[in-house]
Amino acid sequence: MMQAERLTRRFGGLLAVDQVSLTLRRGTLHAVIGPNGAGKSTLINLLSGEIPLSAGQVFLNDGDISAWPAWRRGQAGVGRTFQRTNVMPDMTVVENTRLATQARAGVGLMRSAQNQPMIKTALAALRRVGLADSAGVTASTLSHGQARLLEIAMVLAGAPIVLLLDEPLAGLGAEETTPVANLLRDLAHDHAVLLVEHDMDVVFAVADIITVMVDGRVLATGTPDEIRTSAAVRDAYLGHGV
Amino acid sequence: MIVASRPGQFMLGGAGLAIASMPLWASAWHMQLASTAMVAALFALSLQVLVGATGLVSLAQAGFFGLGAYTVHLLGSPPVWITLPAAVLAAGVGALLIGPLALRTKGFFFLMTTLAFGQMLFFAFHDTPLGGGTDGLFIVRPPLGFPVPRAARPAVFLLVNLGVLAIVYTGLCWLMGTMLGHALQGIRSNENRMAALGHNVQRLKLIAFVLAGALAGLAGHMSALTDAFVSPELLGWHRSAEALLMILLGGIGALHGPILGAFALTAVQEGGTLLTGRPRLVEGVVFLAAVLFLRQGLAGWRLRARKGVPTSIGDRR
Amino acid sequence: MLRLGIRTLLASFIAQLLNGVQYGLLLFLISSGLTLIFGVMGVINLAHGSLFMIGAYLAFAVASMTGSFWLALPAALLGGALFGAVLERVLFRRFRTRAHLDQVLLTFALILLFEEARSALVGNQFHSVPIPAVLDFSVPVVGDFGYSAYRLAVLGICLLVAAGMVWLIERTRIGSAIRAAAENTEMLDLLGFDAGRVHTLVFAGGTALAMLAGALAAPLQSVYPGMGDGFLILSFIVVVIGGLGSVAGAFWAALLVGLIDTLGKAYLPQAAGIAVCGLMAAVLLWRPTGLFGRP
Repeated sequence: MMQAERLTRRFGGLLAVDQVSLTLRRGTLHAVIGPNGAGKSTLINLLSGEIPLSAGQVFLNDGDISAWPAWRRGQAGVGRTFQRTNVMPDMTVVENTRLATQARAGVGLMRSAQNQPMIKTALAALRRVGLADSAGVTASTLSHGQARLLEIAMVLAGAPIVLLLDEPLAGLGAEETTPVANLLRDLAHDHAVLLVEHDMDVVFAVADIITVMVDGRVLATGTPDEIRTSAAVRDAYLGHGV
Repeated sequence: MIVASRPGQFMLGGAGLAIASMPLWASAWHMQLASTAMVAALFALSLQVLVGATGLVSLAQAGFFGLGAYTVHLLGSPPVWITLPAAVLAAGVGALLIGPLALRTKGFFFLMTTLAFGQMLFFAFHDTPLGGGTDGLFIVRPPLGFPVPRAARPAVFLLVNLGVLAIVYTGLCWLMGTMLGHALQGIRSNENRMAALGHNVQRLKLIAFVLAGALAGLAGHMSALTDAFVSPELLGWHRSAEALLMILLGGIGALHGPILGAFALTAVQEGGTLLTGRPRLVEGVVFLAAVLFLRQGLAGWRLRARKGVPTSIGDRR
Repeated sequence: MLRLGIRTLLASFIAQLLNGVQYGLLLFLISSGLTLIFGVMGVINLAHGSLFMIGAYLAFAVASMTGSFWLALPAALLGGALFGAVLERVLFRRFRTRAHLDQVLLTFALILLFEEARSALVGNQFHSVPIPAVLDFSVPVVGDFGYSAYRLAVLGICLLVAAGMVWLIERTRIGSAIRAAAENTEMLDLLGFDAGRVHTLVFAGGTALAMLAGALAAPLQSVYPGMGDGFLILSFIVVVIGGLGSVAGAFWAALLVGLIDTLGKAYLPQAAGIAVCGLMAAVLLWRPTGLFGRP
């Protein structure tokens, strides 16, 4: 479980994220939506430790991890994907995934990387996202859709507690979207998931809870039905033809 | 990082055997030249741990090389079983002191800081009595543990250097196959992603920096042992740049690249001196040609068709 | 006796202080080019110290051929601008997007080739360039103790150049383009500037400044083969301390490094190199992006 309390981040005079609190629970898919520049990606970066907090606190299983650097959060079970595909391009798909497993496993740097249990874990993650057939392929040669799946597989291979997914559907074609949406739903069974996504159809279909952000602040949080019917949300956001 | 393929390993082994047989057919001068090339190969290999494996371009490497060489002189040439570990230790400790500072920076800043720190090591030996004068000095060779007649020296040092080079190369081949080796290659490929996955990138880079420094110290030790000469020039950043050229010449994506590059550059330097009397001119032209045209190195010729072989590190765009 | 001793100490201290400032300003001429070339073009130029050396040799050649040192300054500036423009067009342009390793090796190759060209053209001897007669006197500082008028002139010229740079960068259209490019390389296209021309201009300017610094330094020290090496290392330290791409940072860092190096050499010769290194280490610990660099 991950908890964010009054997270705040300033860039110069700009408040990119302003006192945002939310709780991510295992078994729950928590979506964050909002117009461009609402601070959604910054929020993920704050939770993953990519950028430091200006104020506020982040807890992982009740432990305060606010001061931890990104790698330590990753090792502790905070997994994230990136808006733009961000993998090790010159390595194979399975090696990309195995490195994620290795990071979580920690010690034993001097042992051979041809570690069968680790490779099995990596392959299992690839199977779960449907990329097992491409395991031996160099990552840079993957199609865009496959690379998005690799992003997710890499995070899964690290056996995370929390998944922070930054627009996993970005740039996917219509026929690619449905399987990934199903995958997201599936992932929420055994993880706490935070999903930032622009595809509203998918968000309202898969999310358990939706938080609407505007100008760095939380405008509303509720079930998809509550959000759909909220007058405030409609005025501030949905009404503007997104 | 490509560890040579099976046929490649056989070719390297064959070349090793050819060098090992040199005492049977080659002149003393040729054997000394081969020793020089092997010491250079050791040095370039140490830098490849940073450049090819981790993606860090350091200009401080010659400083650690020089630390290793001067350790022999400063200890007063005790037997080699003392000087060798001492040289490795001295260079490793030097890298452990400089590494955490230099690694706070990235990219261009890292280059400049390592250049500055490396030059400070150079000045520490150039400007103080520590270095034995700016022109360097001849030192007593540390005893090998068995008597070596003067006439046998080129052959003995040839074999000793070959042995050390073979051990270091084999060790690095093994290292590249470990989790550490793979993690380092992950950092070269995409540092931020590795951190997001939960790898302690700073610590891994420091391990690589210290290991590379210690190996450079070993190379420096072998240089002092072979040449019985040390000078502050050993620490100058020009030598770091030369090692980078060896890596580029031989191939940045291959572990054996620096070995090929070291032999190639030694041949070019020697040929340049013999043919033109202006070795630096020849070297400069080779540098320029290599950087303009030879982007995958000698080891890369056969790999050109294969996808996913890094041609250069940190290519932007 | 005692009073005289104190006055001697004071005078020599003031002289060292002025030496430090003047040395720092020369460093600024070199490192401002270095920092801008990296900030705007993303290119590492290790041959920048060689450009300094070439400037000094050019000054020596012009001064000994025409008999006038004053002709050497515009010659270094114009020759540097031309030389820099050619280098940028022919070589550096292709290396903008290449890896750092390639840039290091390219510029190291240039160092070797420049040194060889110098050795072939003018040999390896040390030369000296006389201080121009007009300025060959001392300006009284404390009592009878004077300070070289030429050094003061160098100080003044460097300050003028610095002021000119500030004006150019802060007040002119091309300056705003340079600032924008140092922020973000793609900004040039957005603002409608011809990126290639801005790059040529910056590189030519940086080269001209380095060669001017070499020409100015020629009468102060011997003109000799490796004279650019020390300056190269120190100006790299200046760029690291000041922050990449920041001219203001380069200015203050250059003064700081110049003072520490000069005073260190005068009063603690063994520790001067270490002191500058220690300063850099401290800055790196405190602010890894330099004093004026963006975090």
